[in-house]
Amino acid sequence: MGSGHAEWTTAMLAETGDRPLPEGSRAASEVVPADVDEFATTDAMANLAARPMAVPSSVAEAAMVQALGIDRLAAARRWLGGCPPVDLLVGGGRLLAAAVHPGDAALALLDGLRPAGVTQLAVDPWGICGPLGTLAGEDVDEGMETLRDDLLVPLGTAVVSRGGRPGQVAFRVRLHRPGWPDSTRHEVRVGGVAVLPLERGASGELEIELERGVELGERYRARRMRAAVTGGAVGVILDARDDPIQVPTRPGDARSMIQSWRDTLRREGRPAAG
Amino acid sequence: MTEADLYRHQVRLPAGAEAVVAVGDEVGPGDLLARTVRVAAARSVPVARPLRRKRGEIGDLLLVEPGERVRADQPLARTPEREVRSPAEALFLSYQPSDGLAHVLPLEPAEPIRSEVRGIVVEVEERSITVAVHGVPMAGAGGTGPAVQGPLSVLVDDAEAILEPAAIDADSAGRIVVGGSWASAEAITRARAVGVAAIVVGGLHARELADFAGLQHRRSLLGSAAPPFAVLALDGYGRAGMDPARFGWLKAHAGQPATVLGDGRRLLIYDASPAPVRVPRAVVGDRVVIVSGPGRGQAGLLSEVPAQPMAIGSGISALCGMVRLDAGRTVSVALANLEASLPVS
Repeated sequence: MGSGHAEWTTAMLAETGDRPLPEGSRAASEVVPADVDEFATTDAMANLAARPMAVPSSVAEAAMVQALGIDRLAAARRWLGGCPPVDLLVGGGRLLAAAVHPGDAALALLDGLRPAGVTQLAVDPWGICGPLGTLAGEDVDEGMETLRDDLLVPLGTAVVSRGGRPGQVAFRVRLHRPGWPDSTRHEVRVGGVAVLPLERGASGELEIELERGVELGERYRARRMRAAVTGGAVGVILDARDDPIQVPTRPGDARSMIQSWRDTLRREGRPAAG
Repeated sequence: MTEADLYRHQVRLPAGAEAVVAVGDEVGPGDLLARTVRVAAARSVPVARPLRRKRGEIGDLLLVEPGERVRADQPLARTPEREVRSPAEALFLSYQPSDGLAHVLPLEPAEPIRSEVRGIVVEVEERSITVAVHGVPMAGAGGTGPAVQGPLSVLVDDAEAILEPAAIDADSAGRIVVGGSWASAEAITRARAVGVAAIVVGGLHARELADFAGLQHRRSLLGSAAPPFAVLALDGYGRAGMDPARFGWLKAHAGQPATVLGDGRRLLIYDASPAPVRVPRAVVGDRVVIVSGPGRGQAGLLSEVPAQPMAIGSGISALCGMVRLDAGRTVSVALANLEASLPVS
């Protein structure tokens, strides 16, 4: 129908259940980390929906695309009945592959899917995984051998917790790297997110100590544990924002908080290659 | 314009629709193309008792086959003395010897399907009718409303100009009004009030368009007698200039009869010269239009495409083109946000 694009995009944001957004396009203008009004938000969403191959040209447009991507990932998660426990989460598509910063790609994956526990994150920038999956068995091995290091761009490892009371410590971690002195102990509070630098190709062991009422999902029952972690363009992401993520009800506060999460993931991560 | 150049306008038919036109028929806006039917609840028709025969003796007396479409009052079964007729236009399902009843599915008339354009029927299929039109279409980015007809009336001087409410007066009634870059909700409301057939502009606020579409829908549910009205945004949503080449083409056809398909996001000008064509993947030397982001709707010359990606306003790295705008400035724009405006052949 005539106004299909606008209706589709606003409905898409309104249906977000896991991330409690207010209804309609106002939702987007309240959560995107840019100072835009409802009209501009709806126009930008409708324009991008009408021209899906267009590249977001402004900070606001990029933030809106990110918000829509998160919403779609959240919808996929609901459809799956929750994010299944996995060791490696690979993101594909232009939203993630062409993100302004690898931290943005990581944040989209974490916000949309909330993978509880310890999960490696990567993006498939060239969209190779799909076609590779259609090859016969031996061809897949050959393809993997050929592409090897170019296939995926690792973002790092994420530790995502659930539960706990806002403001209280969710978990404490210490990163052990072979040949390096042990890092200081880091505390992450419920509702917070932090990043430990760990470059691409590096690996280590993360000592995790959970506080009461906080959990890392089905696969991690112990209160104290050690988990293998690998580095990437962002590092080791410590995410205690609970599930579903709660954002403040006041629009300005929500915007500030979302911007602070983005800043955190961008601060430690390596900027996207030019 | 040759036969091959005719614009083919396809009308989709719902399942079960019955075409009332044939290939070669001339049709105009509002002419009936097809009828649809709605299946009502099945009805039982006593057969054995009215014919005064035993239930098992009806088989040879039936005049219709299961699945056959029957008219109202069409005989279903007959003896030399008596007959049973269909109570309505229906689909004959079966006769059941166990109870002596026939079962039919009444078919009730539903919405007629009418032509939106003027042309010649060139194809009649089970699910579509195609009408060839001596006209040139131009696709828009967004719109709302039914198909409306009227002469084109250009109310602004240039592609950048805003369609002011004051410019719309009683003389615009029944016309397809072409604005420039943008029209406000006030302008749209005024146009509808004075009986304008349609508004065509470069951009509209998506929110206002959605609100207006909702209002139109509510009015139609209430059986509003207001004339049909459509709105079309050619270049996108929000305030943006209209592509000057498109504006020039529209201006050149002022007074020409046209159709606006609001919901179909399309403008069709009858007996028009070829419209400017826009294609993605511009190359150096092309005249281009910015189709997304800041500066949308502005045109210029693609003067250079640097080999290396450049960071654009969003921070995203993208292959860009240097565009010397008609306004004089040179700006870098992501190639994905440019379209080449090809000269009319």
